[in-house]
Amino acid sequence: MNYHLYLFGIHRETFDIIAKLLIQTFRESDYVLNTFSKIPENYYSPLSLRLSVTGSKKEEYEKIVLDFDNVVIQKDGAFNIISPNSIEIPYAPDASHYWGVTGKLFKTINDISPAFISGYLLSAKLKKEIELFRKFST
Amino acid sequence: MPEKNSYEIISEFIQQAGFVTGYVEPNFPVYFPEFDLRFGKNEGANYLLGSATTGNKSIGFFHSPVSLKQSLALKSECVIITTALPEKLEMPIIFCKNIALLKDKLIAAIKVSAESKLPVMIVISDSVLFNYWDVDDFDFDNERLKPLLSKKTLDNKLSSEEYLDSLNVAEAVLGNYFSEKVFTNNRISFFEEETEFFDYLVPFVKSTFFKDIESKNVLCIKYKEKDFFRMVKLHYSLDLDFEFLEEKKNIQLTPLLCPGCPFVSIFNQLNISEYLVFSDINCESVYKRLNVQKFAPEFVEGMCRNSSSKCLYIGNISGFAPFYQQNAESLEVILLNDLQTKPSFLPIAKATKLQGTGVIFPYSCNNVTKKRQVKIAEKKCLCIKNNETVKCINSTNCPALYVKGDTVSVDNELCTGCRVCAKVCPYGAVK
Repeated sequence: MNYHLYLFGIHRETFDIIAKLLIQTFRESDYVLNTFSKIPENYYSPLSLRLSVTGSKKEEYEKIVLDFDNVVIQKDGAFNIISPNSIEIPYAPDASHYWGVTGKLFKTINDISPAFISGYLLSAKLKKEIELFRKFST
Repeated sequence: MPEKNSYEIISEFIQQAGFVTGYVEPNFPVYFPEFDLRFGKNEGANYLLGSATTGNKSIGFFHSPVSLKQSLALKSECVIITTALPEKLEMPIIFCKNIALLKDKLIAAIKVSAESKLPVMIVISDSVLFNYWDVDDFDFDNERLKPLLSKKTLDNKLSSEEYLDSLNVAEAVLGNYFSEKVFTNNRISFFEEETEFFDYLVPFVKSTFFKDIESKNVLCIKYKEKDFFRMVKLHYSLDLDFEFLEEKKNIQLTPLLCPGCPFVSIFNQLNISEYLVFSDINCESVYKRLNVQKFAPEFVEGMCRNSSSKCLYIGNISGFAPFYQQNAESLEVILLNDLQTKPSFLPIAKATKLQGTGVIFPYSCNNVTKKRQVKIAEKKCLCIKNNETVKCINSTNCPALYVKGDTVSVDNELCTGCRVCAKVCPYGAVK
């Protein structure tokens, strides 16, 4: 299966950590990965990152949006949007909601290992975040 | 985590290559605080060139390519990084539109500058600057010259012949570094993903890959690249036509402005609808979201002469003050204080008590002053409960405000206390 994953988020530190962990996860799962970014409008605009994840020779790609902060305006059927609103968790200033959204991705793409994410959260002792991640990934 | 983001890759490049002089243009998308010198773009360019002339490795970050009027040979490398395609060719340029090649291209730039004794520009595409790649450390031999300024330095003028020789050296180095490119199709675009583009260009030296380019006859490019390609066509006397690629629709996102944005604060306090508002600030949001027109201040002053229209110019002092102090007659101005010193040629207004133009606003985009954060009285916060548009969020586009249940909350880490939200709240819920 192939995916175009679109990541959008305004909490840049957490976005950076999750982006790195997801890239590592897909590479270790033997997917071919290409990454594309966009320059945000200003220092507080949402960051944008597209991961083109190729696992099969088919030309079809499923489009999944990880809208970490409910910033995506357009809603059309072309994308599967995972956001705090769609999984019914509240936005939090400390960006803990990012991990719930990430967890839901692992439920959606079920042949990738959550080990890197879990490992990071455990070593950083982020209890609230790991609970959110596990709640939505299992 | 083995992956590094582009900022980390570039930061390591700066450190390990031994750059000692740097400049970052205000509002450049990535921020290097050590290079935030608070002067304008042209001054920054001259500063870097002067520094490299005496033997300091210099690096600059510019929104758009800057003109470097080189009259003396460089003793050390000078690298200019930008995100826009150049309007003219004045120095060797390396293009990077693939994050996987960023490290190689940064190394190539420093090698070319060292061998040719010319400044070198790297144009980095949208898709590289906020991206990720697994790179090892850079490995530089950091033997440094001790910078020296003497009469001999100043006598070491660069003649036209020497300049052309240097360009040929640059072409030789770049030609060796990048194996001859074969373009597999005629879709050649810097900004379109998954298309090809030049690795480099050297002014006045027609590289061998142009034979392959010309054989395509018609290139498919993006509309916003047309000026660049027309310039290249003229510069190298290429026999080419162009067609435009279809524009792809991007996913639409909520527009957000910076907390404490000086423009939002000014617009909220003055009757802006009376004015045509101009600026040259490098922030796309100001032009897209606030109906501001982008022009250089001198151009605006010329346009406004003897005009009955009310024109307001808002811009950084660093880019505007010298012109304003000598020339501006027709233009009303509010200058944003981006300097580290207190300017005295206009009165300094209070940020939340702006009464008119002809003043200095106390801060600019890079030095927003933080005051006491606002608080929201939940009982008075009624827009959501009444099914109305949430005025504080919609009017300010401030990322410090967010919806929590049926009220609005404030992110104290982001709130700067500018109080624009307090002014627009119809229920007085913001204190």
